[in-house]
Amino acid sequence: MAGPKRILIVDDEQDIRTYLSALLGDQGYETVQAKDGEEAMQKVQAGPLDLITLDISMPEKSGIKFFREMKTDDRWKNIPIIVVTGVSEDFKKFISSRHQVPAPEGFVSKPINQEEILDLVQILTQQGNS
Amino acid sequence: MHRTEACVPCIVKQTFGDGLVHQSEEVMTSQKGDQVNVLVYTAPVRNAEGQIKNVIEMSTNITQIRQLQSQLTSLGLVIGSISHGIKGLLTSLDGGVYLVNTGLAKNDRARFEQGWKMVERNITRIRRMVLDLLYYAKDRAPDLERIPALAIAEEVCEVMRGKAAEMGIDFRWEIDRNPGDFEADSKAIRSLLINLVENAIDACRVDKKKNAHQVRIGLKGYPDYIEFDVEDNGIGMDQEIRERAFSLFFSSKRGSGTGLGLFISNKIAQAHGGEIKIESELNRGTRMIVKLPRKVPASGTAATKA
Repeated sequence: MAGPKRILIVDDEQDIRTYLSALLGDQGYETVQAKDGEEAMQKVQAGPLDLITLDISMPEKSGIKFFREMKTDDRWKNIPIIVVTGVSEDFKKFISSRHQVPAPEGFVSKPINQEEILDLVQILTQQGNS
Repeated sequence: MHRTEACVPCIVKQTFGDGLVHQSEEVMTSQKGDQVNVLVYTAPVRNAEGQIKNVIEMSTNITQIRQLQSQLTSLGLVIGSISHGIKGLLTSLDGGVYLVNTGLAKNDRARFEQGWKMVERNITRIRRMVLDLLYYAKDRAPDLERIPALAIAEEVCEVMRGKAAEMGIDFRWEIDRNPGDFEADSKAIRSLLINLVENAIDACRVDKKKNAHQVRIGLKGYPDYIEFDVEDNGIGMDQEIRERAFSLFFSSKRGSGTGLGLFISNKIAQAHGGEIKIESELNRGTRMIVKLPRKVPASGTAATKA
C-alpha cells in the first residue's frame, strides 16, 4: 500500500499556504510548502511529489520561471501542476509566454472554490497511479 | 501657441499636394509652457481656375479629453490592482474561516486560534487598503494638531515590531528621547510611517542575497523640523524604481502592491509642507528620510491633487 500522496504548495502568502495545507491535509494528503520558485525547486529536488499547486503572480516572476523549469526537465515534467492565481491577465500572459511548454494540468482562480480544487487534486493524483 | 519645427507629416503640405481634407493630432506648447493636445484639420481654398492657392487650418483643443482618458486608464489600472489584492485577501480570509470551522468541529483549539488570527490579520489588511483608497479618493486637508514626535515614533515601533519579528527581521530604533512636538495630522503621519516600515520589511522579505536583515527607525528633532527615517538592508532600488517610486499606481512588488502606498505617503508629507527623500542602492538597501516642519506653512496644507 502506497503512503499518502505528497503535494507541494507554492505561494508567497503564508496564510494561503496554511489554508491549502489544512484543506488538503484534512483529505489525507501530505503537504510541503514553498514561498517562491527557488524554494519550490529545492523541495522538488528533495523528495518525490505527486502534485504541485503554484501561484504564478508571485514577485520576481519566480512562479512562471519555476513552471518552465519543471515542464522542460524530464525528471519532473510528469508531476501535475495546478496553477492558482487571482489575476486573469497574469494567466493570459503566462499562457502566451509558454512557447514549447505544455499547458498546466489544472487552473484554479482565487478566491479558491474548495470543491473545485479538491476534485482537481483527486483526479490528477489518481492519474499518476495508472 | 508655437512650434519650432514643421509637423511630420505636415498636413498643410499634404492638402496643397492632393487637394484633400486632412486631419492630425498634435502636441503643442502654449505660451505659458503647458502641453496642449490639438486636433488639426486642413482644407484647400481654390481660385476660380480650381488651383489651390491657400489652405485653411483649423485646430480644436482636446487637452481635457486626453487628460480624462488618461485618468480613466489610471482608474482602470487601480481597479485591476485592487481586485487582485481583494482576491488574495479573500482567499486568506476563506482560509482563516476554514481553520476556525474545522478547528471547532475537531475540537482543535490550536487550529481554531490559528484560523482566528488569520481572520483578524486579513481584516486589518482590508481595512488598511480601504483607508488608503479613501485617502486617494478624497483630497482632504490634514487635520492639524500639535503632537509629540516621540509618541508617534513609539506607536509605529509598537505596531511594526511584531511584524518584523514574524519575518525574522531584526528591528531596532534610534530615537531622540526629546525631539519635541510638531504640527501634524497624527493619523496621516502614522500611516505614512507604517507604510515606509511595511515597505522596508517587504524589501527584506524578498531579498535572498543576505542572511540577516535589519530595519531601523530613526527620529531626530531639529530647530525647525522633525526628521524620521526608515532604513533597511533589503533588495534596494535601481534608478528607475527610485525615480518612479512616488508615482501613482507604480509598484515594484509585482502583484502584491497597489501602487498607492508611497504615492499617498508623499502626498501626506507634502500636505504638511514636508518631503520624503530616497537614498537607495540596488542589493544594498534603502533609507527613506521624512522631513516635517515643526509648523506647517500656510501653503503646505493646500491639498495637492495628482
